[in-house]
Amino acid sequence: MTREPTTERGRLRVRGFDADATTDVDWSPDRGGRTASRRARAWRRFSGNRTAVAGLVVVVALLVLAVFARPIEVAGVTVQPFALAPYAPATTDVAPASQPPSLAHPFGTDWAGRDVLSRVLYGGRYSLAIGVVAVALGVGVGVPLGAVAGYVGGWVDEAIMRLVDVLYAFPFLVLAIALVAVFGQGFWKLVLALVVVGWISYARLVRGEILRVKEEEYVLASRALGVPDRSILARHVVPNAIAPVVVQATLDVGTVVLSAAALGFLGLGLPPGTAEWGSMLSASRDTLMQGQWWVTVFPGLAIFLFVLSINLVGDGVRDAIDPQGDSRREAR
Amino acid sequence: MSQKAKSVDSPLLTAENIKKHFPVETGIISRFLGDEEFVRAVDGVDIELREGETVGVVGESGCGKTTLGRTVARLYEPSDGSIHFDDQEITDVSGDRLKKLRKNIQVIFQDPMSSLNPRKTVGEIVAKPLEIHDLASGDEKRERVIELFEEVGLQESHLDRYPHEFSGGQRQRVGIARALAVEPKLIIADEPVSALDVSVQAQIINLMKRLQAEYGISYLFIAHDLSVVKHISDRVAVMYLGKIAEKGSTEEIFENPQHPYTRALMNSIPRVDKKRSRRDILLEGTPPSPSNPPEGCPFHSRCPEFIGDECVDREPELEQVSGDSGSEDSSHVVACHWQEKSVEERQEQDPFN
Repeated sequence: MTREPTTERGRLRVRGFDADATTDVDWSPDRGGRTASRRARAWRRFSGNRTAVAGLVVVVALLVLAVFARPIEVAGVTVQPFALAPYAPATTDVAPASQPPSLAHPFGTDWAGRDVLSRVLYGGRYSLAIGVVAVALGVGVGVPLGAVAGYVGGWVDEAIMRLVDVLYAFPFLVLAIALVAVFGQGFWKLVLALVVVGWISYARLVRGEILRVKEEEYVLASRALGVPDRSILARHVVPNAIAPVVVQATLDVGTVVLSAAALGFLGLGLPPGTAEWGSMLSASRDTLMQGQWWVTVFPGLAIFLFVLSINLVGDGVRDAIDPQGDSRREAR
Repeated sequence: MSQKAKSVDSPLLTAENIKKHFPVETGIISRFLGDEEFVRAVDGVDIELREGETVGVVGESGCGKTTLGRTVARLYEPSDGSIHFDDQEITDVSGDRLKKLRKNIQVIFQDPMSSLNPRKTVGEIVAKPLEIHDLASGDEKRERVIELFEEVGLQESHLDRYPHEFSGGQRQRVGIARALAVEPKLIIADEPVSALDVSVQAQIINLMKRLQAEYGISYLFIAHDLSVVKHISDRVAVMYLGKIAEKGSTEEIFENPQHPYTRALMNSIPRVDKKRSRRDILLEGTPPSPSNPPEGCPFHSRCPEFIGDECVDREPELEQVSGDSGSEDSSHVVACHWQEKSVEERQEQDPFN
């Protein structure tokens, strides 16, 4: 490539500009093909977030470990034959009691000679199930109630939101403890207690969003078209109000797992001796002082790892569907 | 176009003494004590609309013109008054009859972004009214949507796109296509071009005029932009603080405005030429709060042609403009105490003389 020396002052020169030679740029908005759906765009944003993906990997790994820890039988038929955990969680005396970690028992054994590794792997089933089920039921109760309160307004709103206010007046964990004390111990009773204290935050969140969305003109436009109210609520209002709930619910899975563990630690969760992470911590707190750190540290680590990961996922979900990253704002 | 409108006798829409009062959100305690306050957004408006006619409603922000439109479209429940459409009372229809009414009265909204659900493709949005009213389904529906798209100047390839991918003008075209889908007799156009830039405004206005000529649609055209209203309307109603200040044919209102408020509005139209320069009337301040409107004439607090006690004490009725003020149109009415004055006194005080 040869360079022509500059003959005049100024480094930039326009050469050979000819109006006839330029062709019109096609400004039609056609880019061909379908536009990626919102979900696809959100997933693209999420998968670009490395910490969130790492969190998701850990969560999925813990899930897989929990599911494949021991074989699952439904009505006598083995649906899941794999056993990653070497021993059943309740089997005692698989080795001498209170052994430190070794090759045979990488996480050591507890006071009853149970394999801590097996119990931690299996315990994921309780913790994760409680987290997911309690949050799903909380969303299932809170979102419809909040949506109806926000959309209908009037005394319906007043009644639902005052109930929410009353429940909000109690500290989360204190109310949960009181409920467990009333209901008694057991998986579904624990879930029920967590749902009763958990749905209120979704109801309030959804109601606020609904109040915003229902003022949008497309809601009025749907009404002008004669769309029935329940269809407006279900098809136009709720889908545009649900994003913050998805984020909140993801983050709440961590909180609920932590609460379940706390209740377990207080001896209020599942029956004693259950291989639930919180209960395991509770059962081993006396032996920590005697230097048997492994019985406490491993279930504690499992809780820590899961809650941290689910929070990373939650943050990633928020960033992915954040209204600020919303295409609607982008267009403005 | 006004010729055509005059030839049809029975009005398509008649709204009498329409009132819409919104309760001010107060605490639960004052509600028990009965301290309810109301915003009188629309406070006794009569309006009628003939087939194929365009009536413009103008006024400042907050004068109740949008509320009037939405009340007439039965999106808001009127607090008082009666609405007749197509010789039927529609003031409190509900259920199936309301749904049938929705098919005949459609609304175009101001903000073309906010009036389209961001989660639906524009094809779905325009097809929705066809589904709701069982007008078409399957392939037939798709064909009809394509037809509507072409009618408003969009392409078939736009069908599967989302609203955010369009420009403001295109979105407003989608809004118009949606309103057209049910083949309504009346379209309430609520500031349909206010959010658009001037060149696009002209396109949309021309589109609306063409559709009117083709399908004989009536428009209730709500706007604050007088030049747009002048361009499209057969008749104009000027609103101030929930009431009609002056009403008449477009020519009358623009060439022979009688109400001081109308004159002030006309004066606010920016002009390039100084040819028609009139004595400047500048309105000061903002309209009073509609929850606590002034006694007497609602405009007296800002009126540049304030007479005296009668303006404060007594509310002027809408009266026909007397022939000697140069009016030829019997439907030209104005609510101002100046109408009661003698011809000489009025001419003496007329700011345009």
